Amino acid sequence: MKRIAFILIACVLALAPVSALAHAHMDQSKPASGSTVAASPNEVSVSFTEAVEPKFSSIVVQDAKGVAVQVGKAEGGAGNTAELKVKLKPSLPPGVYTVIWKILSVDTHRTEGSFRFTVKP
Amino acid sequence: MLTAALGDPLVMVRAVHFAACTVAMGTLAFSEFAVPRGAGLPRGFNTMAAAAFAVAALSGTLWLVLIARNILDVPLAGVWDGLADVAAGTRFGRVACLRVGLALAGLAALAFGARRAALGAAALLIASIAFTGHAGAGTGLHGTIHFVSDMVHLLAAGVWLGGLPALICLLLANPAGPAAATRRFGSIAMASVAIIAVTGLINTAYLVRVPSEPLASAYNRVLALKLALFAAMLALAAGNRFWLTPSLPRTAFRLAVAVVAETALGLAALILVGALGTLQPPVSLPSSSAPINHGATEHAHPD
Repeated sequence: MKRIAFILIACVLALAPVSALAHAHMDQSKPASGSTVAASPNEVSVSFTEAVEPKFSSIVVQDAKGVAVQVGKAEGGAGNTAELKVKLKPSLPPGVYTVIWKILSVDTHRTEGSFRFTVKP
Repeated sequence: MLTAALGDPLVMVRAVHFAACTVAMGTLAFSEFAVPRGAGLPRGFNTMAAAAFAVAALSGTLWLVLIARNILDVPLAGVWDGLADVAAGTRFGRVACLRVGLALAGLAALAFGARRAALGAAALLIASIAFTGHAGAGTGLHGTIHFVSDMVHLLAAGVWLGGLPALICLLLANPAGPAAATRRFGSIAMASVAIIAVTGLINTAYLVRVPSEPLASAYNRVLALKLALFAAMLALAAGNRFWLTPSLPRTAFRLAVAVVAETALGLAALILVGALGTLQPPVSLPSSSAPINHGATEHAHPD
């Protein structure tokens, strides 16, 4: 009986990884990726699938000419370790904006990506 | 990619660190729970535990330095400028400093003969490895479940794998064979294996999605190798527990050889764990609640 139990445990053990790592990916954003907003947003916030390190992460928002329109450094979301946000210049003119994010997740892996949104009053 | 991962110094430093934490935990747990009260400990137990703590402190420091190099994206010689920023400004850095402190505290406890305090430091040292992995990066209820499961997994692995060198020491020190301690360790190992299996299943559920091609990713290939090593270890452990142990002291030497083989397999498995930590598990697809992100791009940095 003990031998059978041991063999069963051995089979179950066949699925046992230890402390593996993964990369954080973008989960949601505000403004949403590919969306059109009627009013110029005050900030861009991006939430990820894992907690991130704000000190070693960044968000850059560029207009169609590649000029940066964010103000200051990206900060973590209040009470949400998986969120990063950055303030934008006031009254952004209509057009397409590109958000480029580069993050370091708390398990020390780096990921980067980008998405666009449109301001169209 | 597997060859590249195994050639990465970070993989070997992690493997050495895991092995050291495992031996510290297992040796002290063995002396506390497997050796009968009143029986003397073989010479070498204290030395082994102390050496394990020292290696854990050194390798833990080197792990922090190598991670800082990756984060700062500078050559190794230039890492010292930003090392304090990484150590204080990231969760990994703060945890790494704390863990090196735990290893040194364990060493000090042994020096003062405070064996139980050293066991406590070893338990915290190995369980806190969970902070450095994916399980520690999750959020919400599922993040907590995965994290707790990972800590329990690490503790149980420490007790089982880490106790093997202590068992070898005991068998070689006493030619007559320490039957009582070996039987008790066998029972503890069985319980540890059951815990490893259950928590391993939980961890797998969070990390590995059922792939259409099981060996398509480097992560799955390394994991498959690790599973094969564990299966071999369990086969040896089963033979030790049900055949060689009941026949002690006659089978003491054969048991020692079998346990050495089991330990060697365990070391190889820890090297693969070191590699797994640098590879991306299949759970790489984001569980986004947003609709498909048109125009969005994303890529991960190779480490």
